[in-house]
Amino acid sequence: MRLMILVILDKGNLGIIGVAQEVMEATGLTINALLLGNHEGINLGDYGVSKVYAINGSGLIDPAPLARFITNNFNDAKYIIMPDNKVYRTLSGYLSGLMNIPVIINPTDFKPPSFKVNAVGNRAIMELEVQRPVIIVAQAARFKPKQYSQGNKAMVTNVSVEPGSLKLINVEGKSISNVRIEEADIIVAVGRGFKSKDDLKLAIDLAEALGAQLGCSRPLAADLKWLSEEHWVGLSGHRVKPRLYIAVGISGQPQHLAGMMESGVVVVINIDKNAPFFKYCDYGVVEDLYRLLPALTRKIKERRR
Amino acid sequence: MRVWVLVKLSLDTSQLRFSGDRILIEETPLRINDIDRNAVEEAVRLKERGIAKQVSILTVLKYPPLKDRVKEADGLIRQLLAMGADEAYVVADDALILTDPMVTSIVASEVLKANGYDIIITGEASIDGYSGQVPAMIAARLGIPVVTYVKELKVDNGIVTVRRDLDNETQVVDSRAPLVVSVTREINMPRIPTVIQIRLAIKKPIKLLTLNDINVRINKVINVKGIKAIQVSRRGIIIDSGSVEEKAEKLIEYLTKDNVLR
Ligand SMILES: Cc1cc2nc3c(=O)[nH]c(=O)nc-3n(C[C@H](O)[C@H](O)[C@H](O)COP(=O)(O)OP(=O)(O)OC[C@H]3O[C@@H](n4cnc5c(N)ncnc54)[C@H](O)[C@@H]3O)c2cc1C
Ligand SMILES: Nc1ncnc2c1ncn2[C@@H]1O[C@H](COP(=O)(O)O)[C@@H](O)[C@H]1O
Repeated sequence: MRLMILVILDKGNLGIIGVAQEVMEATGLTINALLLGNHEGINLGDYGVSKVYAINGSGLIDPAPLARFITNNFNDAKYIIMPDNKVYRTLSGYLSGLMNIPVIINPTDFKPPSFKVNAVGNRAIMELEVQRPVIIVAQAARFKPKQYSQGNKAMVTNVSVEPGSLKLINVEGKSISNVRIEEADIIVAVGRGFKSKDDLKLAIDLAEALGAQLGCSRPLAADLKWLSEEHWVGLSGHRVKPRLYIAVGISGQPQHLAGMMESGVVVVINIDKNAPFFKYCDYGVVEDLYRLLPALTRKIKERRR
Repeated sequence: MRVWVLVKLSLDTSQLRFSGDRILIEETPLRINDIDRNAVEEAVRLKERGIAKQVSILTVLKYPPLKDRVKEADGLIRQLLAMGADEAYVVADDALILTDPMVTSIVASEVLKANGYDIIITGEASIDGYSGQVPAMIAARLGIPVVTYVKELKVDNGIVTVRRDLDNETQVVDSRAPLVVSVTREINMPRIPTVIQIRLAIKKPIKLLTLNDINVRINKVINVKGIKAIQVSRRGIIIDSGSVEEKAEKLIEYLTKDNVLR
């Protein structure tokens, strides 16, 4: 049996091929790709992919049929690589259950069969060794695939999977902005200390004066929906590492800290001197944000003149 | 219906104990994985609506030292029984210490198969592992469907309708039991049991199981070679005196000195 790398992807996540390429370079195995949805105008041959299996339609509502298809047709895959989002994370778990192989989530470093991953709520790095085939889930946007050769056509086979047992009744889009908070140089992050959506104006003004992006804690994006999810920082949100992170009205729960630990200078503004965030800051101002932010914004503007 | 809730007793990441770059796992307290409280709440609501006949909790212990953790687990699980769950199963075995989510799913699916199930509710992810893999892994091992990231759940005439919160869209999906559902933190507000409920929960059964009891053997497929704490040292300068104007000025002064303001 010839072992290989299987990368599963769609048009929006081509970056994940970069991971497959690194594994290919480390192991010498060839890359096969399972391309979901519309694949017009994509030639994966340029990226060193030998064979492409294109699956049309099927929005992956139910991961079960696709996982069964992969189990039946790709049991010679040694590394199964896919992008990190909620839909793929469901597929990876299902596939793990069917194939009886483990899943590695977001390795920060990989020299197969050794991997480093974040652990203990992003407070530690764990080094692992995996002997069996393994599923790797990684953030596509963090990788830039190399173009090895132009015009090298990969063989494309169209395949189809049966529909699943889940029935899609309705889909609602989400409002999405083009903020790329991971790349921000300065972030003003807001939390439940703000009493209303309108009050965020105070933070927006400060952000403008600083040339900063707006970040937020989970409740502001997930519960209250005052900001879109691109702004959400933390364990379940985005990992950021700006030069300067200013947290306003955020208590500093470990799941928020998990997303901003790597920031340069950290400023915390909170009315409660016992807020846990004060233990993880460079500068902490104990003050009512409603009083401090206007003064701070004004002085920063004055300073620039 | 028989409803199960999978509950992880996670390391409390707000109370981690360190020694240099080592995390003192044995000395860090456990904590009910926050989102699993939402999962229990949702199950108890199904019971109150007459849909669930029985609500069972299942937890697989992962952290040493096992003896102390079993005791600690008892206290934590009582809180969930006080919320309205009927009984709990705790799997505790040295072979499970620090194993990965795949092992959790093997153990959990065996317990589920042996006891029967209709709806299995989990959290979207745990605060320490944060993989979100266990729900789909269990569904695959049981050969039943899974719907993840559910922020609304309804059961009507045997049809389970959920609203899923995905990255770019919200989906409304219909399914039938048996199935696995993973819920988000936003699905509900977990109740806080009253003193009387806590006292009554003392009588509810917690069954302790070893791998032998469930006939499972574990082959470790992942070797953990080391765990290193990520530690960032921060200056921790607190500005808490003076007028608002003075505080703002002081902060700007520091930031200017650090050269982080343009
Ligand atoms: C698995 C899991 C994943 C999670 N992922 C994330 C994540 O990615 N990101 C995230 O942020 N959270 C996450 N959470 C939630 C997290 O645990 C906290 O609930 C959340 O971070 C709290 O948000 P907050 O600090 O805005 O609100 P709160 O904790 O309510 O804090 C509000 C703060 O504002 C202060 N305040 C009030 N009024 C004022 C005022 N006038 N001036 C100044 N300060 C004021 C208060 O003193 C308080 O400290 C997650 C939780 C779980 C279980
Ligand atoms: N050791 C465990 N025991 C019981 N349930 C667990 C365990 N680990 C994970 N789970 C369940 O799976 C969900 C997702 O966890 P995870 O896959 O670790 O992110 C949790 O919210 C729990 O419901």
